[in-house]
Amino acid sequence: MNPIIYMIGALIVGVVLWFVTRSTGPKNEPRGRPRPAQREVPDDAPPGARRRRRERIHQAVERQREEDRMQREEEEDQEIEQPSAKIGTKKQRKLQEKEERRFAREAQEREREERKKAEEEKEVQRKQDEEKKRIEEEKQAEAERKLQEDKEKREYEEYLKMKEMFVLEEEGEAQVASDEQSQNMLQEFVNYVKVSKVVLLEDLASHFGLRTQEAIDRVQDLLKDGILTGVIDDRGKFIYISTEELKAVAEFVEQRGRISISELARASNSLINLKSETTLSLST
Amino acid sequence: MAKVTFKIILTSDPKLPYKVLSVPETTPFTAVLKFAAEQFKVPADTSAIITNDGIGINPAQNAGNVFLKHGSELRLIPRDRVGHS
Repeated sequence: MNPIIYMIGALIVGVVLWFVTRSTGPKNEPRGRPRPAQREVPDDAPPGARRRRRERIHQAVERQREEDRMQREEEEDQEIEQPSAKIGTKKQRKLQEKEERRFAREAQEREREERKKAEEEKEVQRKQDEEKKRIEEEKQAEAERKLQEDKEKREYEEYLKMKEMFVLEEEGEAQVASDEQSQNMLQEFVNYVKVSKVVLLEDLASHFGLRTQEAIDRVQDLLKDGILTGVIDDRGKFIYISTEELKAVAEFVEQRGRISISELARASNSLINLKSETTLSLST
Repeated sequence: MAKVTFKIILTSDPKLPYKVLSVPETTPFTAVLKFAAEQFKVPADTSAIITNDGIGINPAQNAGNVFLKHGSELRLIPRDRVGHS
């Protein structure tokens, strides 16, 4: 009886084992993972022990498979995240450099943003200041304008008050010298001088509507040309001495030969007629 | 109060109209200029007063001074022609 049971048990175990090896064979072989050793069931084990043992083995194998899978996934992750010995030093260095560059870039960006913020704040502040300044300037300009206006108004009022004292005495239109009048002006000039004999140069100027200096120049030119003969007094008079009178004085001096100035002056008084011809004609 | 008289001729008009004004001597000459311009109906801010010789008169003095320095015969000219020959 017992050997038959033993044989049947052994057959079952063998079949089970065969199934197990069939299903895990292709995976396990390349790994060469150590498998839980298969112990032979001792002869004095209880009857269900083999089954239990089989189940235990089966569970252990399943667990082992789970662990393998998890380990594989971890390794794959690790490969992606961290450089492991399998990646190589060059690539590792490159990745490190990339990391550093990334950090540097981020730092720069942060710095830039901070700077921009600071500048913006400054800008806002500046604008505010400018605005304030502008308002102040406007106020000042306004005040100045008002001041100016007040001043003008005051001046105008004063002017109105003064105007009351102004008097318009006369008005009319001036006579422009006609053409005929202007043609003989020089002749008239000379005649006037001759007739007046002694003439204040300023009077002469105003009579002919000339400036005093102009009248003097005219007289001097006439003297140079010989049209007029006479002397200019240092008190601003011109004395016209006709040619005859000059000749008379010359004769007197030649006659006397030697003559003092006072005698000459006395004689000239009688020789030269200082009265104007108009007065002469009136008296005669 | 002493008064001084000026005979002012408007030379920009071919008819040469003139006006004789009598003003207190302490009047600032600007007021005289304004008054004369009004009388001749020309704008006062574009007019100037010069002597007969063409010498400009500084209006920032009083009428007595002007009378003393330049006499009484003066001309009123439009200011856009100041400095012409």
